Amino acid sequence: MTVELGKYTSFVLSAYAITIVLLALLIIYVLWHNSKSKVLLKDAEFDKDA
Amino acid sequence: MRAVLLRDLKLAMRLGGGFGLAIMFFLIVTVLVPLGIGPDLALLSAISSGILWVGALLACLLSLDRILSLDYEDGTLDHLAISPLPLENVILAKATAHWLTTGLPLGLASPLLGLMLGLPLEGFFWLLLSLVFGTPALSMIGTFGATLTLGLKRGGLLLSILVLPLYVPTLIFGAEVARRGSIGIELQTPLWMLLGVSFGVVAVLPFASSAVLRINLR
Amino acid sequence: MSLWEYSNPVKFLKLSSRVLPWVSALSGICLILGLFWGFFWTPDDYRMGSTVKIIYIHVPAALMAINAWFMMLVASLIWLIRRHHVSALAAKAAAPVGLVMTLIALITGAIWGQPMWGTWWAWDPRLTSFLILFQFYIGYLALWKAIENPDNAADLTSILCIVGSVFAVLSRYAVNFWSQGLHQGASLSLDKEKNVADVFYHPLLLSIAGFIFLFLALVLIGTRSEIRMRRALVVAARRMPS
Repeated sequence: MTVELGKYTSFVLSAYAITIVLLALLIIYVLWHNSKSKVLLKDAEFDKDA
Repeated sequence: MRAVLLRDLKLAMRLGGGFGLAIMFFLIVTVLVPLGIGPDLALLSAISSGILWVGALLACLLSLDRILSLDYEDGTLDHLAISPLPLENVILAKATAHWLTTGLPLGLASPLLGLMLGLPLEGFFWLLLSLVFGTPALSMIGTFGATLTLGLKRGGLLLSILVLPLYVPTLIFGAEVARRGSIGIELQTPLWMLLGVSFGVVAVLPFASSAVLRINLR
Repeated sequence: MSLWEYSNPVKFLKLSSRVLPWVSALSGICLILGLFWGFFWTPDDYRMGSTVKIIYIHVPAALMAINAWFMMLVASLIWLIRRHHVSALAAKAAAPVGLVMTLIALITGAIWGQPMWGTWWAWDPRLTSFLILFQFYIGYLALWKAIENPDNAADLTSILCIVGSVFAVLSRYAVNFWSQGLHQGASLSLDKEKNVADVFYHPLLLSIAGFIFLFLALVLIGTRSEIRMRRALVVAARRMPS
């Protein structure tokens, strides 16, 4: 599965690469924030019971 | 309202107030630009109106956090908030004082600096006019930004970040009036747009600013 | 039953946890299908060559950059009028997504512009207004970050969002006007809608759907995290006095 991009190969590939990297970073950030919030809430509620 | 205005004016005129700061900064920018891009007067005169508008905007930006922060720190603002004077008027007085001590002098000084940058003669009047009518919007938007960042620790940088995109329409229309005036082409449309932006901002933003101020003081 | 029921955080959490897997799966499927289709199985444009493939990321990202701000505006209004916390937190959760979308649109646009227009950047109305939008996102996020009291932060950012929206529209108009004033007749921006033939259109639609679902999924996750954060704060505050 290859595709011929001609003289613009580097442009098209870098556009896709940068997009994928940025989206990946965004998704990782959102998920990291999500897990952090879970930990925080757990800690807070655990302290309350103690 | 007049008392607030007069008090702010007096404070600004004092040594170390905002008055000299903005003018000095404007002067420095105007001197630095030719040093940076070379003494080619033809090039300078082509971009002079833009430089002067950008310089005026930056000079305005520099003095914004003085509008409210001092009054916030010493509690004057709390007094004003509980005084019978509507908060909208307080905001308007503050913005007017800022304009009288920065925008107006900047506008009046601009022809002199235009001379140094080789601004064509026919452009002087329009530059002055666009600055005098455009800077009230800058002061009002700046006051809005100052209310948003009131009491924040590193408010200065945040204030610039918040205010800069809001300055875009004023800058574009104002600089366009000055540019068209300097090369002598039709400038009615940008002039009316500039006036529209300016009056619209002065009419509406006091309400947004005082809403913000109430939230910040509660 | 009405939509407002989901302004209750507990109900929102319940609903979103049921919806989230579907939205995420849809976004993954649409994105992979749309982008693969676009990248591997569409012909080159006769004028733009293979760079036309950038359209499958550039256009959806640009679309979502604007729609994310619009969603934040609606959420801010709802927060200011009806005081639903979920709404304010959803606006907060949408901002980073919108910021990244704007960045993607700007970068892919620059990469597309270099071979097509011969320049990475032009002060074209569309480009300039996206740059301004980018600044708005940064300011909005910075303001959220700077204010400690969460309710104050929600109020102030909402007002900023509304005022910013007015100025964003104004800037769009101003920039249009100014750029025409500078280069009369020279049109740098391509009229995309007219040029797009069906071969490009269908994968583009799929990719747009993928971006929309991705946005939804990320905002849902983000809102859920923000709700938990708020809850943790409240619990901690309640514990403090004792």
